[in-house]
Amino acid sequence: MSYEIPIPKLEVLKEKPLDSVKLMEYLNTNGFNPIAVSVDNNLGKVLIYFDKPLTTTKSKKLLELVDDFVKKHLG
Amino acid sequence: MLFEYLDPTYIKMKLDNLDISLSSLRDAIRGADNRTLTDIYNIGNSIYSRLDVALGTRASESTLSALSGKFPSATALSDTLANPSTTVIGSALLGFDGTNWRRMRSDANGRLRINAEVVANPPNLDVALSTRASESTLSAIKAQTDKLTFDTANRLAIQNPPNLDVALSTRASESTLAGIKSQTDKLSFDANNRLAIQNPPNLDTALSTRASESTLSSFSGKFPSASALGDALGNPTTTVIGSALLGFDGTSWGRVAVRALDVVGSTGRALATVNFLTPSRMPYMVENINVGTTESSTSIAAPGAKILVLRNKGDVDILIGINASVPATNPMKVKARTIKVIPFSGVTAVYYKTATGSSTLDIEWYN
Repeated sequence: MSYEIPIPKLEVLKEKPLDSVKLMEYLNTNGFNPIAVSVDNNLGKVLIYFDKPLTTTKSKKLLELVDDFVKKHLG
Repeated sequence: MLFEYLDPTYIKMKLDNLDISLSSLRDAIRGADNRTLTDIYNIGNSIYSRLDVALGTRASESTLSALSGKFPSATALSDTLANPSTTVIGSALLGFDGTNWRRMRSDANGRLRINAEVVANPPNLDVALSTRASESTLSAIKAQTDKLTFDTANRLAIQNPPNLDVALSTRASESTLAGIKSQTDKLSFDANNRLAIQNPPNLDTALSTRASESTLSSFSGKFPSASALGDALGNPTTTVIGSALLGFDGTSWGRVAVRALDVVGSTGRALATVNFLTPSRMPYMVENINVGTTESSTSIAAPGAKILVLRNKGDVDILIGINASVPATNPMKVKARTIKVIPFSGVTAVYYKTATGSSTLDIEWYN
């Protein structure tokens, strides 16, 4: 099951590309264990893969975590 | 002439009073010693000649009685005689020189002066006085004994000797030692005073039934001396031991399996091994990744991919970095419209970008 989360500020993203490894570590630290995390710095999106679908609450939490990570990275 | 006559009756009456004959009277007067009046006269005359002063000038009964009262009654002399109540009598101490008696001399304090010509050694004075302790020796001893101190009860004060470094009360008491003795009394010994020891529970068989020195020596002889293992180790002369090969799976040990198959031209038993790159988990894939000139990446959960399959579905070469950013020089490429399979134990991140233009990438992995 994959979750696609868009990333704003595409022009800034090209200057400061996201690293999928650091996002994976951030999610692991906050209780998520995805199978894979793919960052597309060209189109501005993140794809996160899990072996099972997340609950609504967890999917919202995932969205918040990714948003928080991106804000910290891009400023 | 006048005649006087005595009446015979009267004479007879008077004569009747003479109841003893004159000879008997004479003998009675003489007594047992047959003393005559002359003997008595002579004795009396002798006594009389000694009575040179009047008896009244001599000691009366009362005087002698008073004198007698000054002496206690006669008693047998003994060492334990009580202190008697008696008068004091002075005596002049004289010594006989063989011819004359001479007064014994004393000093002004009344102590008898003795100048013995010969003094016999008393029996217990059996060695010369010069062999006994001298004044200087005793003075030296006194100097030491003067150092002794005593408490108010005249008990000698003794300094604790160096090795008496703790109070006696802290040492084993009589009761403690008695307890120990009660235990040691239980020990028994054989005729050679060797302690008898009960076989402990785990010494459950006789020592003679265990391996002897010769047996172990013979056993040891079946192995060569220890030497450092190395590739150039010579062919050792040793016994042959069968061994069951076991392998540890992280939790327990299990038998390592073999398979019968063709080995160097004949059927043999080969150890069955699993290559560390053999996948053991569910394979995954991420499809249709847009690849542009800005580097992007895909992370793979631990333990990472063992076999990585990269499929470039576009018309532009994709530059690849494994577990790190795409190298600035000579990066690996997945050429356009090709598939690249990479055995790589532990791929946890794939970084990708294009030099120009864009492409599409599929990633498959087996772990």
